[in-house]
Amino acid sequence: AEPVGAALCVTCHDEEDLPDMSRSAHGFTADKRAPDCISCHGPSPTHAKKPAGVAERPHPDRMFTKKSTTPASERNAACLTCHNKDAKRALWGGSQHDAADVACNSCHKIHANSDKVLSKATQTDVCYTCHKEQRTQMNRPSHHPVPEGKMSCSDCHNPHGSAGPKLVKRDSINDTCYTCHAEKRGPFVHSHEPVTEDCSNCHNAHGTTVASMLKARPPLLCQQCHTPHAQTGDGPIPGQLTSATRSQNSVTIWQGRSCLNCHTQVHGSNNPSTTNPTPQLLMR
Amino acid sequence: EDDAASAAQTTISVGLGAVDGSNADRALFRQYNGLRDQSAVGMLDIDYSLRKPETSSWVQFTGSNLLGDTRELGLVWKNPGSWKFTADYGELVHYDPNRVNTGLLGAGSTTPQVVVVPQGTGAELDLKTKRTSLGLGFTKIISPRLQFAVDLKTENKEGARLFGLGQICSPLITGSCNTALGSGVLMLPEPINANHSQVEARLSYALEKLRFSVGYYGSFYRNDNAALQPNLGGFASTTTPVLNSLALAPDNQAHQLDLSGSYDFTGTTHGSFKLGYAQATQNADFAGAGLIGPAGVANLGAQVNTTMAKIGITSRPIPKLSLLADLRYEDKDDQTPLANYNVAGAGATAVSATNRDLSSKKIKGKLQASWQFTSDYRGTLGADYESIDRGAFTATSAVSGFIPLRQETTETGVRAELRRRLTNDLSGAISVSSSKRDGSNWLQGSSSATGVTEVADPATSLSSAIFMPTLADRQRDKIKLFADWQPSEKLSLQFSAEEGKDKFSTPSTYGLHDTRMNQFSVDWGYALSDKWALNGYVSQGLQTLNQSHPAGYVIAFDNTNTGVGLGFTGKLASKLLVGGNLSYVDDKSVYKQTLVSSGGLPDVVYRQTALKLFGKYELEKGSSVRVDLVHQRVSVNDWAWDNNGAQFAYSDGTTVTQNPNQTVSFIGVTYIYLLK
Repeated sequence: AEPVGAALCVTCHDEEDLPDMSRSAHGFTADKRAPDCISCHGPSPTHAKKPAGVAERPHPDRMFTKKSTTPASERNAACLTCHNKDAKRALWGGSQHDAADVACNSCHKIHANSDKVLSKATQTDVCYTCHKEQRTQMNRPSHHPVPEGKMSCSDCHNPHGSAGPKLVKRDSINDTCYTCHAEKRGPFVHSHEPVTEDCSNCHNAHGTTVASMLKARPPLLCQQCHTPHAQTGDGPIPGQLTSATRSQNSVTIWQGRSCLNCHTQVHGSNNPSTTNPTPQLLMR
Repeated sequence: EDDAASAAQTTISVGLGAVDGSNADRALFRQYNGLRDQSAVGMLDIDYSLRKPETSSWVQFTGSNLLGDTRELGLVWKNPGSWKFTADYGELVHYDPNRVNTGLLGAGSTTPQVVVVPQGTGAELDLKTKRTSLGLGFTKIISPRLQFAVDLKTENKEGARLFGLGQICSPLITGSCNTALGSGVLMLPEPINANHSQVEARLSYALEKLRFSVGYYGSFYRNDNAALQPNLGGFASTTTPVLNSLALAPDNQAHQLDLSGSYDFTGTTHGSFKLGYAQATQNADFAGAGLIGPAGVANLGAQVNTTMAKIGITSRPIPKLSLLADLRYEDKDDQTPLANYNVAGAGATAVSATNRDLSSKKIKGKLQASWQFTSDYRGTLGADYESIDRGAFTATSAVSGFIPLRQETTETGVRAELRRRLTNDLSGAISVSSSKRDGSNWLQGSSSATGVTEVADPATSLSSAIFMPTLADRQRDKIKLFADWQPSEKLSLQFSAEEGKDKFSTPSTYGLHDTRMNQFSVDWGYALSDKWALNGYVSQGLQTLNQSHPAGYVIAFDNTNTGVGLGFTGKLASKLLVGGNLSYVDDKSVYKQTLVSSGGLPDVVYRQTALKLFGKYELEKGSSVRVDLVHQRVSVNDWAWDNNGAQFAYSDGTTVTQNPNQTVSFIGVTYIYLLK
């Protein structure tokens, strides 16, 4: 009998024509959910059987190549037919990538045994295709171990949609950071409000030139909110000391860990001491 | 083909690596790769896969860097369509890129002993933290509609990191506490020995139009170190209050229940939703940590309940029109009891003050419409809204420092994007956005009283105040351009450019005035032949900020980052594959100041050049040898610890240094055997 369906597809698109995907999830034929050609590309009757009088064979119903004219929403609908059951994709609709018309195959490679975006070591190559600023930031000396392949973008972000900003995995930036930095969660006797509100007020998680991925070097960062200790005319480097009190000389304010030399509990202190000065100043 | 796909496949990579350079030369190179000070390292990776369609069984096992400090193991065992079991084990070491020289005894413990030494004559201290994690997961597809998944992860973190204590002035300090380098400051490493365990369980159900899941997430942090209580030696006889008991991170836990899912109203209108309720608590015992609180208060008893709701709708009422609406609401209810932990003012006028209720409410929404003019031309208009209500300031609490506060801020923004395919080979997009934030009246605290008062005329009464950039009025504008061009089958190019500005308006002239960023990059790929391919990128980014200080100076900060990457892969012979890349980063931070005193801050320049090469030769079918070469040079002139030869020194003689020029090379030879 004449082949039909996907069997008809492979009469032309044989292993010479298509990359090997036999070891991929879609190629695991024992899984009843595994798709065939038609599941994704559509029945494509005019492609399967060129109509008479047509010079060029029409394309399949849905195409996933870079130059395809199939809208991203149609391509994604084909994938979501099966993949919308996973809770990780529940919030895809209206998410930043959906709203920006990103197609599943913009990131995922289907006709392959390995998908770069699913590997920790190679995922950034895919993400940096669009996120150039993050590539620049990751090249800076203070960064999460993403360039070293010990972390990946998807450790913090859910590119398929989330209830938090910037597609972070959990419902807020802080809750996402706490999955690895739970010691910062508190709540503390003495909280530091910008810390409690949003870690990214002070940190850029993609990398900076300042230790601890701070967005600016203390004391500049701290002095965006706080009045400096330094006196009028007080310079920032050795040889320019003036009448600062106690340890608040220019060197300890500008060098070493700067403000954090003394205000070491910048993420909050759980010290309940009521002796003055109280730990409210985040020094102990 | 089926036979090949179902056969067991094992790849074993075994090899030896050699590293040159001293510990100081590797300071930045070794941050995360575990190559600390050994000159030779063994390398062992395993990748095993067994697929049996006839029994619906699929097993994958991977092990990487098994002989090193950052080993990882992973197991996936599944019956696709029925169940999946996962297990993973990982180690991650972070070495501090600074080298510490100190006389401190017991560094890394909760009771270190300060020992004064002449600068540079102490022992070398290598600060590091190590995470060791174990994860287990199980997923069961109970029916085509019903699925259950549970994931457990537990991680231990051990080590020590830079920390310290200030406001220590004693006769031990050479000269006086006012003028000596680093005077009144001690470096005491924070001891780390904690466990963080997380569990997530989810039951998902799918109907024809409705899909939803109910989930629980629990996070439990346990710290073995409750407080750092150093023996300060002579520094304990201080004129300032004894500050030698530093609280460390308390045990805490959080739980969340959520209901999330999506609904298809019609074939072209879809909705998504998430409802969440979370509770974070912290009741670590003060006395157990050696800390003394207000009478009758044993612990903070913190409890913060967060309710979150998010709904979104997308619709395509006609083929050319796409609509999107999204609304998110979050109510953080701080139920932590208030107690007098603080003192406002000093001396006879001092008054007790409580901790603060940090409840808040946030609303965030967006509307967006896209019109597909033609198959190649799409336009989008969007509007965004965000409001934050930080709640009324707790009347019994006190503002620390002279900081104006604001209860509410509201930000509204608009954005537009045009995306067009100009030719079959060239497509591009331009997007612009603009937003404006303002807020409620400014509030002012008193240094000698509790509560805050609303300020009628902030331009007068707060004329020398600094206004927090997170609360200040802000105008934010951004433009982005993107183009993708493939002039030939062999060459592809990507252009990207963006520019953004923030301008802050506050009643005083002090604080952050404005910030600016831009980023430009070109990426390219070129196929020289069937055997050789090249790729690369050039990018440049700029970040600036301008802020002025009541202390009488203005500072402008400019950071310029230039990055270049060049890569290649090729076949030198039928059995010899080669590849590599060269990357260069130049990052320059310039600090411009208007100071009464002469001079200013030196520039901080970070340059990194890295060359990575590999060659892989196939000895016979299934076995090959791979050689990797890495050469990295870094130069950095950071005045944080050393300014033009004047080294920052703590009061006890402790110094922290970073080698300004670091050169390191690595060679690795690996034998790869594919066993089928």
